[in-house]
Amino acid sequence: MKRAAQPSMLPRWRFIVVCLGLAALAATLVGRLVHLQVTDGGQGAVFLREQGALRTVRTAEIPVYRGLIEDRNGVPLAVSSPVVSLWANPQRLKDSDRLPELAEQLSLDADALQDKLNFYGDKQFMYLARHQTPDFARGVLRANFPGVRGEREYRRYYPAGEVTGQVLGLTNVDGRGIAGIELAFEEWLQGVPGKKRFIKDLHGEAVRDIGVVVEPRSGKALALSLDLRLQYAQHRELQRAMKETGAAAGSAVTIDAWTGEVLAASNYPVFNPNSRSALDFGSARNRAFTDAFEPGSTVKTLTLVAALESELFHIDSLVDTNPGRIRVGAKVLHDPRNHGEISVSTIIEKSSQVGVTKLAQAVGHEAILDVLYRFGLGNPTGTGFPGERAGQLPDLDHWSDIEKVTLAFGYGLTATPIQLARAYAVLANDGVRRPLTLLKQDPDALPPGERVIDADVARSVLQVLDRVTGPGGTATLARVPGFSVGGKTGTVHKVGEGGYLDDQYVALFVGIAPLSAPRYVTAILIDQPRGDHYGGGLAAAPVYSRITEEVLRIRNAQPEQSDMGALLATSGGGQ
Amino acid sequence: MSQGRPSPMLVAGLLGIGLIISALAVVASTHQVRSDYARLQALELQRWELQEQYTRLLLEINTWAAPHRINQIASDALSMQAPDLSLAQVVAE
Repeated sequence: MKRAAQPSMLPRWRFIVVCLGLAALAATLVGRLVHLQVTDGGQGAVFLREQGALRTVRTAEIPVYRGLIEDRNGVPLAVSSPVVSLWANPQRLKDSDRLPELAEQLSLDADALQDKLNFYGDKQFMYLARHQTPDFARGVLRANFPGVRGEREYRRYYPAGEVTGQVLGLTNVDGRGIAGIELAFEEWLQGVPGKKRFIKDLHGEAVRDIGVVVEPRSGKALALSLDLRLQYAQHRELQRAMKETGAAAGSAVTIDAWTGEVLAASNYPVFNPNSRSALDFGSARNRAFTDAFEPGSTVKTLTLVAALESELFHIDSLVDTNPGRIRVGAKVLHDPRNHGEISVSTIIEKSSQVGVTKLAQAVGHEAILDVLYRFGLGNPTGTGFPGERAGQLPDLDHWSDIEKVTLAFGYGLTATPIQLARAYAVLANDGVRRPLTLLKQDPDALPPGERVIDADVARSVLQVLDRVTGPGGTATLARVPGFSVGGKTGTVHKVGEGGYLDDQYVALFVGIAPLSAPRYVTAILIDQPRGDHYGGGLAAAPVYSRITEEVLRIRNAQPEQSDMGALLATSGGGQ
Repeated sequence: MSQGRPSPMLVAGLLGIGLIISALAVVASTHQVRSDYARLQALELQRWELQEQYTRLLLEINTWAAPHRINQIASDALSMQAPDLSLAQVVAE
């Protein structure tokens, strides 16, 4: 047949139909592609783009530098240093035969590492070793273990270690402040971590960065009011006193009464924020700010203020303390010996219970309470230190006779060492109370103070405090060579189960120096000194003396004019 | 055809040339962005390394100049002590 002989002579239309059909299919696909990718319409395109990004684009955090903390002279106290945290993708690392080698480099136990990898086997991220020095981390990364990567982070170092431990506090492993200044000024120091986007490959490794989404903003530096030299000297003397007295705990705080700046604050037991493995949060407490005690006889100074304000007494008025004891309600209060008829000034100088009781009964407890309140007891000092306690003033509906009197010598209320320092700073500052601060102040732009007592009263009280450290006073050991200083001791029975303990004391001293230009106020608290030297005059006053000597030296206070003749004479006219 | 109106061919040609120029410009600027970004990354790496060095030196200075170290060297190695007040003389300004 003709047809059978010419098989190629199929009808042309069939060929054309097949071609058109194929072309239509191709055009549909291309059209769909163009529709999805180019004409940008509908949800399909969005969906595809999202899915693509999900598989390739990642966002990473750009770590930021936490602000430096400096002392008032610019010496760094807390520094963030770049470190590298090594991490692994367990899915890629767990079956590697190089595990023992990796474990050895990281000083880990190989079996423990294997167990940990198996435990996180279905995850894609696991820390191997956090916060390694960059040099060490580079060495490990260079060995190119499968799935092992480094992540940049910052670690906080405290060059002064335990000397500034409790004041600065510390940050947690993720660089957030969790105690002390680090916590109080977290927002200022922290900064804003940036964000960047990058494209990753199949193994999750960054191929290239696309761009920065959020600009990183580093934390800001913070200048504290502390003076590291002074802080160190105070710390050293406090530790020495702790050793000498065998006390359980102690605090010292020095403030500048003119500006309200806290110059130094130290505590025992010590706390070193650099060794995280041995962290003991009990000793991380800044006791000078957070622990309130009954202030005892140190409050007698404020009772004196109330007495002088009442105008019933001036400092030379005579008070009869015969026969050296006085009955109040059911209790009898004693002086160590009968002082007889003595002046108001001598009452404070000798810390006479009978004399103070008579003053308190004459002026009344409301007047004393009012003075305590005006001197800032029962109120926080304004430093904003985390965990700072405000202490307590008694708030009673009914006052018994004995309560009215014990208030005058510092029982029945509580105060922190920093509060005591602030109260005495009012006296040093001519009767003006200033808010305290841990930040360096501009001397020309100080926050306004509040006048709480007359300047005359403040000056009279300073005269009396001068005599407390003079011959015959209770705090001769507080004296500082070359300067006149004033202060008041306190010895308080500790409260235990069932009331006051007979054999456990808190020794206190609060002092002001130099009296020629009263400026530096230091409060010392020694908790449970052992042995015979448990009193404020024997346990705390010598510490005050040694610390204040350093304070005056470091702050360049000029030795007093009255001593200068003697100085010139003894130096034999030298030079 | 008429005066003042360029021929459509000329317009199309010019637009075509403009298109090619702008396409090349896009290529060039993309390349610029990439190389700048690469430089930025290199500089960031450098900053990181410099910061690493800086903080290490800062810590080093402060370890060497720590008050307790100065104190110790002064008293132990150099036998220094604070002068007694009787040896001091105040020079008033």
